[in-house]
Amino acid sequence: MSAREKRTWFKLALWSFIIFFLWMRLTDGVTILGQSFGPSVIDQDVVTLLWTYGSIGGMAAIGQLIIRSVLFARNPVEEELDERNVFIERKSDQVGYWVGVGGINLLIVHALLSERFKFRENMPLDFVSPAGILLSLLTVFMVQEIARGISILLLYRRS
Amino acid sequence: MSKATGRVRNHIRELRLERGASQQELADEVGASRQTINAIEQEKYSPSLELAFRIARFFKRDFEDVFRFTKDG
Repeated sequence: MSAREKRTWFKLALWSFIIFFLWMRLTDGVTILGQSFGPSVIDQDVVTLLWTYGSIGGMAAIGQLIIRSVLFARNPVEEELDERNVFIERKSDQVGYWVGVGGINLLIVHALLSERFKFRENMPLDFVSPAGILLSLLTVFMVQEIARGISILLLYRRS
Repeated sequence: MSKATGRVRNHIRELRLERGASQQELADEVGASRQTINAIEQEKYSPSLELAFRIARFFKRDFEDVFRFTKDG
């Protein structure tokens, strides 16, 4: 397994942990390992939302720094960059881009339809509240990164 | 006009073993990673024309002695 693949596994673990943290902080439903998350958005005050947003940014930055400068300090991933790596990076960037576009469009359609048919109150995930907007947009960004990582790993296996 | 489909096959593994070179040595010589040489040998990845020429030059062979294109069907 190349250093790039190993780094991608670490990044996938990081983003999965952060997405779990985000949903644990902002949603309610099923309780697993003492933490509750599920299909209902918990409406929270702006200060709590800012803390959540800041914590996620901090976790992502520190996590990336650890992966880059501690785990791969002796074996920099950049040294392996050749045409196949570039091809795989480009392909996976495309996958990430289209997942992001799909996710944002899904949110737009969801918001418009819930407004048009006035079923927002009954919707399990209300994306219009500040907590809902934070949850939905950050989820799309993270799913985009996870999709990109999965496509990198698949492409290294198949091409 | 019908689209010709096929795949690029190669004899890199045989030529490399004949020459007694490791994948890493070949990779260092042509400016690719060992993983990329492995993927090319397994015909999972088709190299660019430039890399393919560099590989052929490493073996001091003509391009078509190393690579060939086979049509599907």
